[in-house]
Amino acid sequence: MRRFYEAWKKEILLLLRDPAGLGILFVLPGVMVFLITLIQDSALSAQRETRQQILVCDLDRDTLGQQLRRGFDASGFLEPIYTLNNAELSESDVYRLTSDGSYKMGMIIPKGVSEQIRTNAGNVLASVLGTAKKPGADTVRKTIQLVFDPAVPSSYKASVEIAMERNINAIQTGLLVDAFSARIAEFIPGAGRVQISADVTGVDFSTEYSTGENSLIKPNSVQHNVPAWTIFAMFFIVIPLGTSIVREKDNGIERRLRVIPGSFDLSVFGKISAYILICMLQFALMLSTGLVWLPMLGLPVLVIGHNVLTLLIVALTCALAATAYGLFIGTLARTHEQAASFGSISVLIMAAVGGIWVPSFVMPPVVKTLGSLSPLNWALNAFYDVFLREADLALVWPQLLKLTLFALVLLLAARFAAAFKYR
Amino acid sequence: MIPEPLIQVRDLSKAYRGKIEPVLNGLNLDVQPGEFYGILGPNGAGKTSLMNILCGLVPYKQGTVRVTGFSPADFNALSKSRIGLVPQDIALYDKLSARENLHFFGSAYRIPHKELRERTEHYLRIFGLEKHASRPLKTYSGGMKRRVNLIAGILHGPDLLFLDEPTVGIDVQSRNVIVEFLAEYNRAGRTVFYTSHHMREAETLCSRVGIIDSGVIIADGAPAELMRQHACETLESMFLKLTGKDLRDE
Repeated sequence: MRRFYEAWKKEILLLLRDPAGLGILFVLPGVMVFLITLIQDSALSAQRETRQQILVCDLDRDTLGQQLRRGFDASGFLEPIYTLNNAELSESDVYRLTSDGSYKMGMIIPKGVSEQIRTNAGNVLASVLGTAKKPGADTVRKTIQLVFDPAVPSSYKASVEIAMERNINAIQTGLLVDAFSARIAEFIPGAGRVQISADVTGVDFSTEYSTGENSLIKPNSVQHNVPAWTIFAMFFIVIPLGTSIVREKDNGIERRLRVIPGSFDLSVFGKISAYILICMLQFALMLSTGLVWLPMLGLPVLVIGHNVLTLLIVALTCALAATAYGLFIGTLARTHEQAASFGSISVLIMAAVGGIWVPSFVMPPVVKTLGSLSPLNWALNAFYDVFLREADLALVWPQLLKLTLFALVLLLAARFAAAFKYR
Repeated sequence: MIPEPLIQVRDLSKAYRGKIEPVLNGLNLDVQPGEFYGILGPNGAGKTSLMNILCGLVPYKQGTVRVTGFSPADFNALSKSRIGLVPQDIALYDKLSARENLHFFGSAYRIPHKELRERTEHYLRIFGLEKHASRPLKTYSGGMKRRVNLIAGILHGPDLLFLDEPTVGIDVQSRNVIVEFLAEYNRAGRTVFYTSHHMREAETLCSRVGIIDSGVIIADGAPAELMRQHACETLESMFLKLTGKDLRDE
């Protein structure tokens, strides 16, 4: 036991006396989680909470325009701007101010569109009642024009288009119903206006995150970034661990250890246990960041769920996988440069495809498939399961099994490679 | 009665993967207990490969090797603990102090804690390092590192000590301390197996030397005897006579 303790202590001392290595292990991921969470949160808040301004040139000045204004106010998503410098916006204003990027979008409501809707509705009703021919080719068409800044992302443009189309359809339907109601009243004196709403149809529409019993948990930048950068930090031990193994090979320490009975394996176990401890310290540091430090900057508090034991087991398994990867790279590498560059680049790639920087669901299918092979993705899914789905071991075991098998295969491969190289 | 050799090598050949020429080519060698045996040879002659095989670090397919009565493939904890290795490289952690390095390697040999501390301080004193023992190794001179490198190989008191060029590239004073210590260590009845390019040092220290070239021992005997046989005044001139003056850059 004392031999193991000495081997473990040696690794810890070597790490403590390596400021660059400590920086990579603790400072870099800490800074990254702060920066990325803040950036993502402000970007998401900007989309989620800030009302987007929309220039409106209302040439109609009738029901459609008025109802659109009420719709904008009710949604809270868009803030219409009708005048600039006390002058009503013209069509050319809308095009000019969106094309130069001053505003992200604008809308031009053509003159007479409300009246046109009413007229067309009357024609439809007349054709139904047989008092007029069927409407069709001679129906007058008007176009409500949406204009976008060319720099607006297509996904954002599409979401605004859908929202606006829904809004305008509802208004058009209302106008049509009003027209029908008016004509019906001509035939049936005393008939009231037809109302179409959820109260009549009995259908409501609602959205929420499916988060199990804990209704407090909502996916946000903190819930994503804290586990994501914890995993990234853990796997980044590949650099100090890999280079320390190469150093031992380079300067003959490995030869010396192999001559001492049982000490090579002991030294490897000392390394594994020391680096697992480092990973767990990284985990504790990142958790404290999410629980204490990020909320101080106005960000949401990290919710870790109630399954603390499962969370610890997930972190421990992730630490084992990361350590095994570092050991494997260190054993295979012939130089410091190989260990550091291949180790870091491979972790960056696994992180990128594994959903550490950008959530997997926004990735194209090919990358998503690649990502499902990344151990960082397995680890992230396990953390998501515990944080967001209140999962216990019965639910996360598939991810833990994959990580454990990954670690065992790499440890065996490292051992085989170390024995093979002297032949 | 002649004691059983501590090192016995018969028809040993070794070729590394991907190399056509064998590095060892039917080598035979006996080293008796208590000998100070020097293996001398030009670069690429097979010295380090032979030492690696004797220490059990590199496997071989052809020939037989017995060290302390065991084949290296069958080394157990006891046989390994009878062996000490001082590699040519400074096989130490440069961010640890001399004392921390020695405690780590000593504890790996299962030396009891108290005894390890006593031995560490004893050797640090002998090698003039006690004042610097708490400093990180990276602040040491080359000679100081060589001395710590040697101590790490002898802390457990091995019967058979393998030394791979233990005095290469160091100052005269450090070399003198090391050479005097090794002579004393051998006088205490321990066997030393040593490689060097320093002929005068080998002439002084070794009770027997073997000249190795192209993977075979081409001359073996006491230095004085070999010099007489080959009519040479120094071991260095005899070495050049046997191995030639052509450069052996690897």
